[in-house]
Amino acid sequence: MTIKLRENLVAYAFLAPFLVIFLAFLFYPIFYSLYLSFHRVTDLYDVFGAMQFVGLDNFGKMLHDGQFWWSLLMTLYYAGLVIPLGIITSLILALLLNNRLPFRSLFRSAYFMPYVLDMFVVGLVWVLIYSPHFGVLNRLFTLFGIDTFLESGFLGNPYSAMPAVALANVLKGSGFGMVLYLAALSNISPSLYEAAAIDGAGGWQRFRAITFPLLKPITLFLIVIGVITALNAFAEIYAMTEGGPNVEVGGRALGATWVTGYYLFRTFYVSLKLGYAAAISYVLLIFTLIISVINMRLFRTEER
Amino acid sequence: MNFSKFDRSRLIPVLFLCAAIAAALSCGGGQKETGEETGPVTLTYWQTYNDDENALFAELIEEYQATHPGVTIQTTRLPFMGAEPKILTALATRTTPDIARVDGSFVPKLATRNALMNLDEIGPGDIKQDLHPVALSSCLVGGVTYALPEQVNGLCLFYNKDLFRRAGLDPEVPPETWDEFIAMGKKLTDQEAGVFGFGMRNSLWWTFPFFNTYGAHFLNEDGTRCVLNGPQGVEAFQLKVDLYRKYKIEGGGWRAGGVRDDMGFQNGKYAMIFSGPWAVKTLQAAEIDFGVGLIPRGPVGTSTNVGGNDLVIFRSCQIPRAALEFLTFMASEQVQTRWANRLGQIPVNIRAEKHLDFGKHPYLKVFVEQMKTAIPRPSIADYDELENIMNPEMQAALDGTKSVQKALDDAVRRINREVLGAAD
Amino acid sequence: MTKGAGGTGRRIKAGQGTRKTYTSPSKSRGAHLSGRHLRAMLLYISLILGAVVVLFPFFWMITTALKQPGQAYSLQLLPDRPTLDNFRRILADYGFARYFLNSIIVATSAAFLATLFAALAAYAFAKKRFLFKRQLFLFLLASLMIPGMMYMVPQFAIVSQLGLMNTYAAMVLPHLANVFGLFLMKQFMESIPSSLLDSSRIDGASELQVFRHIVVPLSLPVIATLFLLTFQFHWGNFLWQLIVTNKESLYTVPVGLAMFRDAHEELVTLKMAGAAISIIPIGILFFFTQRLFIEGMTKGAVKG
Repeated sequence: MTIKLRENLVAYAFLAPFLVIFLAFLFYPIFYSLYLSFHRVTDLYDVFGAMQFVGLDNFGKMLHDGQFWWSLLMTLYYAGLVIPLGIITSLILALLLNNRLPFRSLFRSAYFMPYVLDMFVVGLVWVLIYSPHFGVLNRLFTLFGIDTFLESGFLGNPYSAMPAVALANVLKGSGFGMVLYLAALSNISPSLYEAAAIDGAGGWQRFRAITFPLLKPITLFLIVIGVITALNAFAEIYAMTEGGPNVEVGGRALGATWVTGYYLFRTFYVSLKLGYAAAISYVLLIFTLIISVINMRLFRTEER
Repeated sequence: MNFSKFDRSRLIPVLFLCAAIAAALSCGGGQKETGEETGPVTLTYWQTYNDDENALFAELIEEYQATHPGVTIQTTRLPFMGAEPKILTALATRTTPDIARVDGSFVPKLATRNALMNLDEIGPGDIKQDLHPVALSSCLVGGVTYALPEQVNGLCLFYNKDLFRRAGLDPEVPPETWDEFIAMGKKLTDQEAGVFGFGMRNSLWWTFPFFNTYGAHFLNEDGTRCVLNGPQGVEAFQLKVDLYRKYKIEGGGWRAGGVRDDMGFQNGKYAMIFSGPWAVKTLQAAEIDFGVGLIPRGPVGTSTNVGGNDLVIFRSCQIPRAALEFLTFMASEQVQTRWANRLGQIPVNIRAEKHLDFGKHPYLKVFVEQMKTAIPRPSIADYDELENIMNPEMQAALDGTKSVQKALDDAVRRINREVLGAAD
Repeated sequence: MTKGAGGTGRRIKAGQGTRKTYTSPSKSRGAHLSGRHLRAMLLYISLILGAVVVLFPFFWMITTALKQPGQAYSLQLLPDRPTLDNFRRILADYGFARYFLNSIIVATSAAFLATLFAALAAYAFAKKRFLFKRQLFLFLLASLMIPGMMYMVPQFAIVSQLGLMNTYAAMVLPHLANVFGLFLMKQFMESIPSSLLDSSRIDGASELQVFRHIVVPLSLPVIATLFLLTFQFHWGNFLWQLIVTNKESLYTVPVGLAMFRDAHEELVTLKMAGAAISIIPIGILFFFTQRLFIEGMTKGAVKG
């Protein structure tokens, strides 16, 4: 055996366990999903074996599927709430923490901890807080004389449902962005601020001219992560609204928190429309890839 | 560093550890019952009983196992809502039980997709003659028996006697026709006090009492087209819409964010609602003084819808005869009498009717009477699709954004096209 | 609220003796000191308020779990008659003891195996030359772009056709190839001086021995980090465990909680006790290993 060959074999031996799992569960599924998307379940006794080939039919269905397009809209809405709110919260927290303080790391951990927890369980706790009548938040609101949410709770009112879910998500996850911003902030040389101060720049101006631009990469990163998270959102919806209180849109009853990730779950798990679900996942994949590519392009222009 | 052979031998325990983990990980599931027709057998049964039903059922199992030595029944309790996805997943992964209790509307879906056993082929179906035709209807698909009923119910008219008295109406006389219903409803409605004569739901199933009392058929003779938008259907639905829009005796229970009918009935907001045997216990516990009457008569008399649960045997079952015996047991005169007399449920077995204890369950009399004129819902594989299409259209009519005729026309057109595959 | 304090947030960080404030130079010395104290106080108040808001749900979860069932919605911040009965009941009567055990089994074995596989593969990438190394690396990198929801349907299809439904294997296998972990480890291992490895090879060590006796001990920090991260991921991995188990004896805590929620929505105090059982262990784990968590989770992000 040549040395080269032996080296290769040894290396691949080390890679083997990882690669086997990777190929079986992360690589192959992508193609299998495409295969599934061209089929439809017809038989409930032999679900997989008796799937019928339907060509591009599932994708055609998607084009006419009002619930699918609505879910994309709702996902956009969700992203539009979670991303700005998340970034602002993370940034504010980071700015607050970017000071020499006793117990600083205690606060940092306190803000970060919820990120480590499971969104479904956290969502269940928020359901309690958002409950109608006796929920904590409702009691607080009635103190201020606001009783719009008394009967329905915050999750039962179609206008407040999505913001409520978004709030829960942001409070849980903003610690992550905070830590990223903190790291970036600590990398900003103080001499920049000194120079600006000498030039007579006030606090806000210094922020705009120095801090914010230097935080742009993180902000961009968080935006991309936010979009991908919104496209995948499921656990919080399943915990809190199960698609949301129904609103009437053009003669159809649609959910106020009916995001695409949740719709995908319903199609797959509740209706067992495996082929259609695979088709939807594929479209989601394409969207995500487009966004990632855009992100890479933007990043490259940034570095220039 | 010296790497002696000793170190190499340490490798073996590590490999062992990995192998052990792998082995441990691949278990965790149970063994599949190979099952034989003779010898001790275990029947797996997925059920959706509430706590009261579950208590009675536990007794029934004990007795069954005592009288059928060698048979063990292993039950898994599923939440009532959310049982269907679990069954679908089980089908996809081939982890189905032998028997499951499913909603009547689910049976056609399972049967047409090859998931269930044909009961006619397994064993004698004598019991079917004793079963209420309406209860049995959801078990038959294309004339073939795919399930045996286990529970049947339908909507009746519940009314609050206190509110009747306050409105000067005789608390023992509920409205018997729709005209009386409207007249009484007007007397019962006091908008300022927030009390309404009626609170209703808006799904297709909850609207069938209207359609059925007007003789509106859902499907045509051979079941190929939906014909609900004919004159009777329009009249029936117009009545429902008028209750809210024209006569203003309905309190918006059907609205998203409105007070639901059962809640409103308990809180004295609605004087009358549709409900069924399942609600009796809660209302009695809340000490509401209520009565139950038949659905008011329309042009063809009184009628109502049909709901209920059936027991199915999955194709994966290895011991179908034992399973069928159990199904027959659950639908038997003796067992159905016990369900009825213990929990006030309507028996699916006609023979049980003579044993019913109306003293203990006074409302049962009305329920049983109502079922005589009940009409089962259309047996379509994707029943929920019907609801998905009809409900928003009905809502549009209730909101006033569409006329009743147009709403029904639109719904029927979509149903014909999307669900029944019929040409326009 | 904090924007005022934010203006002074960008002080020079600890380590520099001087503290320059960038307010207008016209402030007198006396006002200088109290201004600084005022800002410090405002900062502290904001931070504490922030921490209260972010951590409130968990506080509420715990207090509700300790309340008598009838008092589930009472507004008491601390129950006047606290009871551990909810915990006892949910563990003993509602099966959560078993669910907890399952969570431990799944999270521990998954963390162990994933870390092992990643370490083996990372060593190959870091220290070995082999055919297609570059391509393989890019290939794995690309896989990071794929959203998680994409895998739901095909992985379910694969697992169920392999007959692995309702097994620990199914709950663990698909996630054992952790690409992010691989990169983390590779980065770390690259810093191990190759001379160390070479000298032990000269001493007659086999590749596995080199790995076991040199690489692993030196990589303990990153191994610990990855173990923690994968443990945390599996502890909270809700969706996959939900779809791959329908047998009660295999549920993990989040799945068991979902089933409990469906069956007994009104048992609020028990529900919160269940949530606590999921959250408290990981919270405690986080508390003792904060640095590892925070660094590990954000390291990949900073690299972008």
